[in-house]
Amino acid sequence: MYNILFDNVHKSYGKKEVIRRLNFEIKENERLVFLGPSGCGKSTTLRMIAGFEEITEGDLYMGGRRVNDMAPGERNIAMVFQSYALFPHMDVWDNIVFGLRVRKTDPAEIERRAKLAIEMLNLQGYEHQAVHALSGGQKQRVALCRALVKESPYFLLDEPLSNLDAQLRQKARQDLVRIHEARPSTMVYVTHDQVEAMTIGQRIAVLHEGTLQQIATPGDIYNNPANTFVASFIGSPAMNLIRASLDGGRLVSGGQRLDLPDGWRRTLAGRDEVIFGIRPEKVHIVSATDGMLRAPCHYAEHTGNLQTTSFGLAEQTLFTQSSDNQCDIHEGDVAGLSFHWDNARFFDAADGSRIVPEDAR
Amino acid sequence: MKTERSEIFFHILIIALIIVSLWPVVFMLSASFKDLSQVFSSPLNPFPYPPTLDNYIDVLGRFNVFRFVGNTFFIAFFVTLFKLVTSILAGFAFVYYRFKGREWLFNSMLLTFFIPTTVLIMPNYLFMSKLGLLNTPYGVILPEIVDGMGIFLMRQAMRGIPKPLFETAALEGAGAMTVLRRLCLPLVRSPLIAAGIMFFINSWNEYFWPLLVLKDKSQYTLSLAMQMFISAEGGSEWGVAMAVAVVTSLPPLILYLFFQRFILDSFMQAGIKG
Repeated sequence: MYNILFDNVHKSYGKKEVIRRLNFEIKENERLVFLGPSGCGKSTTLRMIAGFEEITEGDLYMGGRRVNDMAPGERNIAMVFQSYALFPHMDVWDNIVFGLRVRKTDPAEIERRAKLAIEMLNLQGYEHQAVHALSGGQKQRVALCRALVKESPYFLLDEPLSNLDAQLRQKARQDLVRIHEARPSTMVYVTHDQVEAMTIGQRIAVLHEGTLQQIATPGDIYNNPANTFVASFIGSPAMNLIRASLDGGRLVSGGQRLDLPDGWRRTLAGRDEVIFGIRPEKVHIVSATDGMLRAPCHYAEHTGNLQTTSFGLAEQTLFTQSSDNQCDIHEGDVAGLSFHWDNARFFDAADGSRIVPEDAR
Repeated sequence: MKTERSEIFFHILIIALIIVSLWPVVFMLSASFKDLSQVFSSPLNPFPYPPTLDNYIDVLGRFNVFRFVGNTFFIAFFVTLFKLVTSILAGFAFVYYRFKGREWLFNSMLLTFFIPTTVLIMPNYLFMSKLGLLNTPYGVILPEIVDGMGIFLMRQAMRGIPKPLFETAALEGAGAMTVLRRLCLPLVRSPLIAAGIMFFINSWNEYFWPLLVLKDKSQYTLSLAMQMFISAEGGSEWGVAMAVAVVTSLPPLILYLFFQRFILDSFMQAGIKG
């Protein structure tokens, strides 16, 4: 069993808490992505797994063994760093086999593994190049190669694609998934890029200020964010979050009223205020007379395949996004907006956590 | 116009500075090819007339120059070797290990720069005397096997190595000695060579400390030997003394020219990294 288990893991530098009470499990051979804004503690968490950061409190288990006091070299981890961390004085081959040589692996075995990895990453012909002569994409592949030859059950990646340009990044994402499918390992991937997280992760752990916000599949994170932070961090533009008050069975915001369906009416009964959330692509622009809401257009943006439009709801803003660019709307036009209640989400007005509808409980 | 005039002024200033700094070298070279009467009759004339090789013949013949070169080389070689080894190990420890009081220890080491040599000479002399090492090259070498500046240079150079490189090595289970040998040393090669040359030249040219330790002429280093010709006891054979001086200056010069690109490389890097 090569799982990783966080049991109440806590970390602080002096009085400053950086990681607060992490409790979750990374399953054997899954691809888990730590996602969050910079300074959220995702890299620190990864570095605790690697053994570079001490754990202040709590226990970390890898494959059932407590590793708090285990040296990085004993944890059997392969890792790719953001800077690639290639040894500048060695050529590609020496970089790739460095670890195996240090561990005094049999030369024939070193040869076999290195050749296999080099082939997997299309680095044939570069074996004896100096690393400083390589392009960014090649360096990144050498770093991956060096991690692969180790054949470790754990594979950690710390923003490995952030130094690549956009096109290469897409290719590298696919390569990573392909390699992982071919050679499964427990993979932990750190990124601040939600697209990377959504495409690479089988599950995503969203971190914010050292606290785990949600750990779930990409679909779940997107569709059912656990709180307003996750809702606003994922998606571009993010989920619309509109503050509204409740008046009997009606939602009131910016002078507009919406009748709640029965299910939500029961779930939200007893609350005065709530945050209403809906993804921009779930809101449709219709004629001003047909809409559930009426709002003036603030701003419309066409990016070829997508049209993003923002509307004013009193002091708040609501975005819509559509791939149907037939809709001709301009600043100042008043349009109707409609959506399906199945796509609506509600969050607690005080702590931002999602309110789960009664019938789903 | 104005810029031109100030440029001329600066050029004159620079030329004057060059003359002042080159003059001793020119004097040394020219006097070594002059006979004694010429040295005194026209000390400021840089061109010997007629040039003579008598001084060099004297140095190589009457006076056992190879013995002095050997003595000097022995001391300079071992001082350099030990200083490099101690600087590498200590500098590495300051970078690789995290221990309580690390910064404090490092800073107090830097403070040793400010202790004047004259303060250290008495205790060192007494120490060497108790060890019975006076009048031996070991007495010269022993107090010089550690150098604060060397530790500082090596620590700075190794600090410049990106942390993820150390971490990658740690993940492979590489121990301290493997990290030092396979990772640190190849990456600090230039500053290491620069420090080595600095140590060698300083030791080669050292005068005061060997003068105190070495009594017997057979133990003399080149700097001390040179003094035999211009001191009160040895007389004032300037021509011969300058020929010895030329011989003394040559090895460091050759060494410098040979390793020049490493030194320049290292200073250049220091400039960029700040």
